[in-house]
Amino acid sequence: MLGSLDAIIGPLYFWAFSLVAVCCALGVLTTRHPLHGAVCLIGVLLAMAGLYALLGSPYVAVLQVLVYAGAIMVLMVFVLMVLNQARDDHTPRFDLLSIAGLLLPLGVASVSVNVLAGANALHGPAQGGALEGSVANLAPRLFDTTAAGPGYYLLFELIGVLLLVAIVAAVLLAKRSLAGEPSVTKTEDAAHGH
Amino acid sequence: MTTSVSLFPLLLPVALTLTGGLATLAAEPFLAAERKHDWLPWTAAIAVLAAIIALFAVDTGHVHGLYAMDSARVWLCGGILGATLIALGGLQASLRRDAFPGGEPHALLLFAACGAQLMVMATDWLALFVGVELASLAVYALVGLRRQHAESGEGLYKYFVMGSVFSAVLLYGVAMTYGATGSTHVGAAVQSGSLGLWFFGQALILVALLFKVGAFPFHFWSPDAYTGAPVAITGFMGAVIKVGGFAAIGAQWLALIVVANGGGVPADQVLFLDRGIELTVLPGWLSVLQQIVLVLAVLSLWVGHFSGLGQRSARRLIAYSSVANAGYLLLALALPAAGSVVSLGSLWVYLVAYAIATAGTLTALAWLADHDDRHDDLDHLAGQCRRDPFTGLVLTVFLASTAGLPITIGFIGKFLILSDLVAKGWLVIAILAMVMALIGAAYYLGLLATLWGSESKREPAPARSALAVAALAVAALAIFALCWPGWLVPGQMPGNPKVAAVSP
Repeated sequence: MLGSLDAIIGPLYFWAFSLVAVCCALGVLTTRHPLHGAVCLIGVLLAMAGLYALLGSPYVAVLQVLVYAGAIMVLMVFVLMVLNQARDDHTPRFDLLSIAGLLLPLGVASVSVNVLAGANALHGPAQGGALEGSVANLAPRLFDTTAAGPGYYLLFELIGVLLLVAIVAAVLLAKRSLAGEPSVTKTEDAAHGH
Repeated sequence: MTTSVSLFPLLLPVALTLTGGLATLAAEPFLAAERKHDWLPWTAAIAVLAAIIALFAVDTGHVHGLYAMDSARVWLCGGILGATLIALGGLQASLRRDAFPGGEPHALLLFAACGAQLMVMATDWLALFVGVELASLAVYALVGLRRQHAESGEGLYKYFVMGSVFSAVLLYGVAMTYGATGSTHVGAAVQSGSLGLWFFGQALILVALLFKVGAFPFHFWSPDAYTGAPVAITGFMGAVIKVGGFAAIGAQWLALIVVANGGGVPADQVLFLDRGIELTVLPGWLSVLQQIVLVLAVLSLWVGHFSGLGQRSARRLIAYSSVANAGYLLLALALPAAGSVVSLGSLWVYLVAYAIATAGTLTALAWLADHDDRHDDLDHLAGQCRRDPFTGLVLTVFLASTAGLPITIGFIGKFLILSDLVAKGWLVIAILAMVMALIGAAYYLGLLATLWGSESKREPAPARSALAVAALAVAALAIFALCWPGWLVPGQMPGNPKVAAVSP
């Protein structure tokens, strides 16, 4: 009984999330106000989180909301507000170059759809409430340090280094002035003067 | 049954490089601004030297199927570390001359070298991605070091945005491959009925890697990024990222052959880069892919050599030279007829020859360029070698190797690639590449003629770096010494690649 209900509700959620994701993505492309674009992007990310949850990965779904739709987008909206970007009525929505540029992603998308439709499904639908991507399944696999394990803990550690490098790179590039470097503030003043 | 800890000696060179980077970073705030470029490059250099020594001690094997080591990978990691050492010298000389306020670049250089080594060692697509990102993020910051210059910002912006897009392409390809094989292992067997999906995923991965190595038609970022970066960093980017990228392309190519033979690499085994694989059948999709790669190779040669001819800026000239060299390296991927063994020995030899010569050339040019690398154009560089005979001499050696003159490692690399091409039956392409090599030689020698030519009117900028002098001298000797028979990668000389690729 429950199975048949799943068969109706699952696709229903899938199409709803997909519709939201696609519409919001179109919104990101077509809106003239950067802030509206950011809000549309949050919509895309939230809908993606819903899709991940449907695929049996609640952990990834929660992270998607917390990190992408939450932290990163808050930062982005914050930056947009600081820069006080107003509605842009000057730039044409589409010019010849952007329409030509549209062909490439459309081509990639059509090939993707084609090969994905042609491929055999690797896994069947999730069986009887087993969540493959639950924290309980994921954590032992991620931190399995035995020799026979997948060794993902190694990648986890390396990603720690990666984040450190990202911070160092960002500080080096964005610090208002490195010690004894007056030229940066000078150019900023010049930019404000325009 | 081995415990996981006993697998770690394989990662020792990377771990030492990483430790050096962290130590350099941690020491940076405690040094006075004027002392930073005295101590930090040496801290970093000692770590790199320790890593090079560790390379002689590492075994063959793999860690969890994620990262592997074999004689070809030792050789490539050696190339990366050597180029890093040379670049550290160049960075010390130019940052000290400009009194750059901050010692982080030295640490970032080591992190990038770490990432490139991980790219070389990766036998898993996710492990490769971590390496690619580690190398790229560090290099983005290094490209933008001169942030008060407009061209530095332009180069950084283009490189960063395009790099992010192609990182996404790489991940998209990995996702498709995972969908078709159920594994992120390089060379995993394809599930029945999913060949199309798998091929699409592999094609996307190849496109992303071709971007990273700057091959035609994904080279458009490189002249701007190379020009925006400080000269010493230009050499590092050209050398180190290319070694990492081509090692990944080579591993992918061997994996494609395994799958073409109808098999796959089991999860507990890895592909070793120093072994050949017998190509039993040449399926249509691989044949098409090979033809595309060869066309890209020839176009890279064409664009690299002919766009380079008119350039006045030494950095732009080297950027186009790097596109051309990507072309030679792609030629090494040409496949023989079905039934013979494919080995990529010539690719590995050429790659390290290219890396050492490029890092050396650019470090020597950084030495000759003035404050802020303002004078890296040919008009200002003219005659500089006469004023600074040591730099002139090593520069001559590096450019001779890049041009492929005999008794240099560059010649051996070009010779191996071209003779392989002929042996595999691609005579027309080999002749074409030969002609391009002659054009290339003409412009490297032209650059040398300018550098040694008329008396210079400009006083040389006061560059100081014992590290650069030592590294350049050793590198120039290595250009000759590596030609010594038997000093090349063990098992890599043409003629003895008859070992199975898949091994426990």
